[in-house]
Amino acid sequence: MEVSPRYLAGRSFLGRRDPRVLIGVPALTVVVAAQVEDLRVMAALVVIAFAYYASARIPLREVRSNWTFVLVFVLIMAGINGIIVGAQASATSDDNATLATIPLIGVPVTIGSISYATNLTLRFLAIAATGFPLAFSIRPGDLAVAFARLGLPSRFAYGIDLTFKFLPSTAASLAETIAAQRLRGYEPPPTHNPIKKVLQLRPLMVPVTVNSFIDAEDVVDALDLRGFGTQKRTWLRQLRFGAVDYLVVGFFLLLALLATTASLTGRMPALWIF
Amino acid sequence: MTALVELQGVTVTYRSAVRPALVDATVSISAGEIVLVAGPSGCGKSTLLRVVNGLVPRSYRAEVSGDVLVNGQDATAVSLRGIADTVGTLLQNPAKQVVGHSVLAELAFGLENRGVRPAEILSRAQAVARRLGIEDLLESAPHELSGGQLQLVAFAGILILEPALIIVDEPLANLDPDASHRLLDAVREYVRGGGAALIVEHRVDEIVALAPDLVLYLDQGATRYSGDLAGFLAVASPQAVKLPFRTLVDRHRSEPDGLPVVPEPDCATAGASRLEFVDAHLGYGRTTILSDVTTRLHAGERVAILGHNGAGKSTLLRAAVGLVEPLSGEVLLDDVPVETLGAKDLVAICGYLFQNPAQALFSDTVAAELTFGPKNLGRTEAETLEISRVALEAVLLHEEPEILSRPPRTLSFGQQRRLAVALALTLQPRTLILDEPTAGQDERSATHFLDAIWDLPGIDSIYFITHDIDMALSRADRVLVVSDGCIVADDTPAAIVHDTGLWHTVVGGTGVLRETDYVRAAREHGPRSGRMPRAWDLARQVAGAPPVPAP
Repeated sequence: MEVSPRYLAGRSFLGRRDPRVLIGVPALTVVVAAQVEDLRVMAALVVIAFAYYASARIPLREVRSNWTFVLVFVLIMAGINGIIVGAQASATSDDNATLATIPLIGVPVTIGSISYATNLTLRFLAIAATGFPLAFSIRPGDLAVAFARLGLPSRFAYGIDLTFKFLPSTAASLAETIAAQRLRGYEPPPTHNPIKKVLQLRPLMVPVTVNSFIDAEDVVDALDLRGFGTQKRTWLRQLRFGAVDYLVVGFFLLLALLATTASLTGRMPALWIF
Repeated sequence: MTALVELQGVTVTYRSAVRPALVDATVSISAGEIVLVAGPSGCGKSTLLRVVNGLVPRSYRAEVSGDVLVNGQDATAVSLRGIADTVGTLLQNPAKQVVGHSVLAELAFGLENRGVRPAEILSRAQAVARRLGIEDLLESAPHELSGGQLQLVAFAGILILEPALIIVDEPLANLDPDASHRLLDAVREYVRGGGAALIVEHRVDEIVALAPDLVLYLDQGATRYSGDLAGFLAVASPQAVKLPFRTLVDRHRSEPDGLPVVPEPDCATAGASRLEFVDAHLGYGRTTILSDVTTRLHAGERVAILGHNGAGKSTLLRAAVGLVEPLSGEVLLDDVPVETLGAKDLVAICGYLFQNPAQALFSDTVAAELTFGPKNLGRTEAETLEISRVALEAVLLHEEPEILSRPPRTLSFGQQRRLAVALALTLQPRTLILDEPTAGQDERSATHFLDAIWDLPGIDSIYFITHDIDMALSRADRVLVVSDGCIVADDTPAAIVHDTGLWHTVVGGTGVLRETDYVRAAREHGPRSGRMPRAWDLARQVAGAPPVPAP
């Protein structure tokens, strides 16, 4: 089943940008966010990241489930993990009162660890906010051209493009398989046993996986028969990096340079505790 | 003149197989020629195509003996890219072939791979789109296109590369008759312009209009016939390939089978309402596909759904089993709203056969696959085994050696289809819904398959979607025609045949359905009401066999 990736940016500010901007900005955000430990600086970065995200004007109803997934992931991975790791990271600070102790593992919850976890959570949110436009604001088909123009080999660039195409197609195939199995009376009873849960997925995962391999073989045949990857290729789609594109990338590049310089010269503020 | 492609005594044995898939094949194709390859499923057609386009042995590992020449050169010395310069391939399923995110990107893909300058790509894409009448679609995304449009786009993606020979693999399998004719017209124009075509197709009746110069009939890998079209039509078995209706009549005249013309029985008496649509609007998300659907399909009926690609036929019947929820209105199964039925209640009423039988196969053996449904319904081990045995017998798979211990995916496509029906039968439904039950099957397999289903014990009604108009008219008690988002006709096959406003003879005509020779003959010689005879029986009648008075 052929399904196209979703494009949700319309004619918004980011929708009109060269796709290389949308690839470059999240990469630069990662560089900045990875180096910032001061919660106040991180909060400023989050504001910038969400301003950038808002300029894509992606309708919330279309990405509500994606954001829910990201928020759950961030809160569990960054929040809880951050409290545990943060307890060690902030242990030497003077202003680090213990508020409680986590039962069973005995890890103290301190103001420092909460500060660290909050910083970590905001770091992931900033990266996610600049990453969403990469997934939803690049027109289908522009992704491969953009990566190729960034210097990646065309086989690799097209591979990324096909992957983006493959994911929604696989999701559609899964939905069709769920329907087919339901029509064989398949309604697995709810269970908390993780092994049982995995086994219950077998009637869905086996057909989807096998069909994906078969489909992939057909796609490979189709590519081979049209001479894909046999010589240097051209691209019909021409990308133009305009003045606004330079400004946007330049701004994030400046942030990355500042953060890196501050880190290398020891001027980057350390963990800030509430 | 050097042949574009020449095969001399070619035998192919796949590495994983014991028997050869193709035996001693010899064929030569030159510019301006059309070659038709016909034969039952598994006859070696796909292998022949893969030898010609170079996928065998480059992508599919196989032992190949004999000579394969491309433009007079030994093909083993030519790269796949080199062969692709001469041979273009249109795969059976265009959805697998189309890799571009838009029609323009799809047309550009092959030329981009050859390093052609963007300005030239654009100009050639526009030219080929004009030639095929798809210039309005250039900015469209492939998933927005109908099956017919997608097939044309895939064809354009090959045509733009200007190959000397185009291979077309079962082009009609997924297309409605109008879309089929558009594609075949495009192939005809291409050959008139100096190209050549190698076409694989079961539906010989549709290809006859192209007047192929050579017909190759394969069976179990061996060439059973190689010669001109007239000779092929004279010897081909109507049970093996779908022959033109006129050929069937000629066959009856030259070799009468001596059987009398038996009047068709009346249409089945309709029982209680099985599937009811009440002012239903059906679609996906915010898109309405069918509006104001109000109709009842009854127990005891065989109902065919006809219409163009993308007309909403599948949407209509998918709503019957809750795969499409009504945007408004109601869909009732045995007077109960479908969405309120649990899976177990639903499957006890309706079995649904998807187009792709492998959609749900996951077990290691056929035996395990058969027990999945009954176990879901809470049957005991003994009951499950008995139900499985009966289901397998009903679809005539029980005679296959060691069938129960075979992995389901190693069965042929036709066998997988039968297994899919058996899986539905293990749930003991009263109604079967079939989505394109004969697509991609040869005539013999399709006939056997449908005969088996039509005689299944315990199934009181069958509702099916098809593009095969002749089959629909001769198998159904009732025909629904879907077009422009609604049901435009709902009557007995005879009434549909005689409703001349429904039919057209040329692409772009005003009627919804494309008239076939069978339809014209049925209108002239068939019954005025009720069911229609099968093509072979109607041909007997047209040929002048004495009628038997109705009892």
